[in-house]
Amino acid sequence: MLLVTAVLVIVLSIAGLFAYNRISSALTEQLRASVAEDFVLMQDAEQRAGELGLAQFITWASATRAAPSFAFGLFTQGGVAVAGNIATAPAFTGWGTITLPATATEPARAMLARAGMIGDHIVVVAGANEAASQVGEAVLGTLTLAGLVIALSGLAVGYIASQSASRKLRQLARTLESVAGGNTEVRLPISDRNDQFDFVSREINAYLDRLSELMASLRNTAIAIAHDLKSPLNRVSILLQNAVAAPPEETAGYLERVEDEMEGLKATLDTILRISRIEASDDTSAFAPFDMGAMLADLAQTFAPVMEDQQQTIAYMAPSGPVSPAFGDRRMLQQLLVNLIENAARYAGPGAAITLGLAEGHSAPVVWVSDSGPGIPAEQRDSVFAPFYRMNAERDERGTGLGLAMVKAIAARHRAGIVLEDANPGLTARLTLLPQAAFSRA
Amino acid sequence: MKILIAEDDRTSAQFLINGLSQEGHSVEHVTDGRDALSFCLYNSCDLLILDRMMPGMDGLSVLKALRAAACAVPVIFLTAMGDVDDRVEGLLAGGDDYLVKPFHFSELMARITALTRRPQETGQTTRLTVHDLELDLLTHVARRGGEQIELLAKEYALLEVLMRNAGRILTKTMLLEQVWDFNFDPRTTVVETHMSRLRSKVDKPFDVALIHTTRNSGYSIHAPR
Repeated sequence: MLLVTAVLVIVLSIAGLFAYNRISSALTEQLRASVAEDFVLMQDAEQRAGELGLAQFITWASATRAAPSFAFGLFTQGGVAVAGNIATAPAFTGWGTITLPATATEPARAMLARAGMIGDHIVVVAGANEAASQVGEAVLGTLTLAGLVIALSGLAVGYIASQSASRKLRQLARTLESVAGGNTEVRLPISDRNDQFDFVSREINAYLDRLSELMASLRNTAIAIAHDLKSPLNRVSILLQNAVAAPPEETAGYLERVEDEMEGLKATLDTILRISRIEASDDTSAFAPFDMGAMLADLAQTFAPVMEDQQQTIAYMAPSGPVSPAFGDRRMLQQLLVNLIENAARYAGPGAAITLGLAEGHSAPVVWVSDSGPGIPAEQRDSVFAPFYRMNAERDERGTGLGLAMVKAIAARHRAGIVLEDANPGLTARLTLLPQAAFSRA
Repeated sequence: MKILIAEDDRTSAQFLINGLSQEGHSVEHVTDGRDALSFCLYNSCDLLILDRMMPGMDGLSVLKALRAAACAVPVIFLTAMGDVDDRVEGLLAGGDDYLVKPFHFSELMARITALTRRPQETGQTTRLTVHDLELDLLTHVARRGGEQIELLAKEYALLEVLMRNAGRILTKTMLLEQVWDFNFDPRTTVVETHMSRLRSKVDKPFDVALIHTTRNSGYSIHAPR
């Protein structure tokens, strides 16, 4: 701000000097013209009335137009003053500068003078240059003053603006401090001016929305994990108490059940670890192309007897045309599909038919798992992807509730779209993969 | 067999030492990665059970150093981090097998047996035989007592893995890896269902059962003893 002011003052001073010079040279020109005109008038007077006419003109001019702006002098060729108010004849002819001595009313001053011969006499006409310098000074002063005023008002405006900016920055700092302190509900105010501050504030608010969403989900997950680990631990505790109280030949039976419970706990923890590691990494170096149709046919074969035992069916509907190879981590995507199949089997109920489908998307496969079960109400379709979400708590006691959270994490790792749709009746989970080219570019 | 256990957790180490000693192995134990490395370089041992996380030097670095020094001792990794990436990293560094903690002792024994006998069956076998059961690896035809058994693709793959490891227990995890290429445990009874289908074809019509279940361990195929 100070720098801007200094530059402004310098620029205005240069402009002022320039104007001063122009004005002062214009005024000097005017003075010369006036002096030259007097000379013409005096030559005229001398020609009409001779020496006497000239002396009379000078005496008259000295009396009426002289001090302080003009001075006149008439000298003999020997330099003796005949008329006028200039005491001594100048040493030059033509244009020059003479200095008039100080009088009672006027200080000594330099004047622009012209000396020349008219008839037998030396005539001097001098005009004060003061007017020129006075006007110039006035202009210079005005410009300097204007410069100062502009600079000061610039400073003032800048100060006010910076005060407003720093007030907004302070508010921003306070808000972020509050967030760091654990309050993710605070938001920055957005004014209706739509300036850069509002732009930044909107961005920050969007991040805060995402942050509080994540924190809420983290909190819910932590609670859910605690709950899910507590129930088997309770069961283990009861089983162990029974084992202690039971006769020796029954102990082994209780301990085997304890072992089963521990297996379940281990599986839950392994799954949580796997999900968080899949979510944390964006490494795609292990991705490779593979035949999705072959994988789906293989999975249908693997699950056919399992479904049959549950009075369900599973079938792979091969696409009619060619489909691009899938690109990704084959085993991860296999797990994603297994989770979708097992989920469909779990919720679709006895008698349900599960269909695996494949089609060509944008140079990459689109895969779906459909079932003929009751489906999921549209408003619940997003929440089922949250960890430990359960459609029906009592019905699904043994599930970990992590199957679809894993699906979501694997899909995200592959930047693939996963949506649940109405299969009329039943549910379709549709996975839209990206082509290999989408990863090499990144 | 002389086995070195490199594991800094005392409880886990003691669990392994007790179990392996009972199985008749001679067991040495170190708690530091650098000690594990120098033990293997200056002593002979038949198997190294290596924990991933250890003071001094982590398991992966120990393994890399061993392989760089042309030490070919079979290595089973132990880890608490159950993830594919770890597994792949461990196997790439020259590990022979990988086990996620906590594990059943029977799982470890099954893997030790499989690992230490592995070189024996790398020949160009085209036919596997257990008692009166034959499997032709070229035509994918199974016969028992001369009678052809119709097998579905997954049943065939399961039988092949069992017969290639005849006499050894294969855990559910091992079967999921080798037959289905699953590196996770599905919630449904994939292994049990296919095993039951296979048994109904291979064992049920005949007097003698060849496929055996060991509770909390796994499955094996062997001739009647």
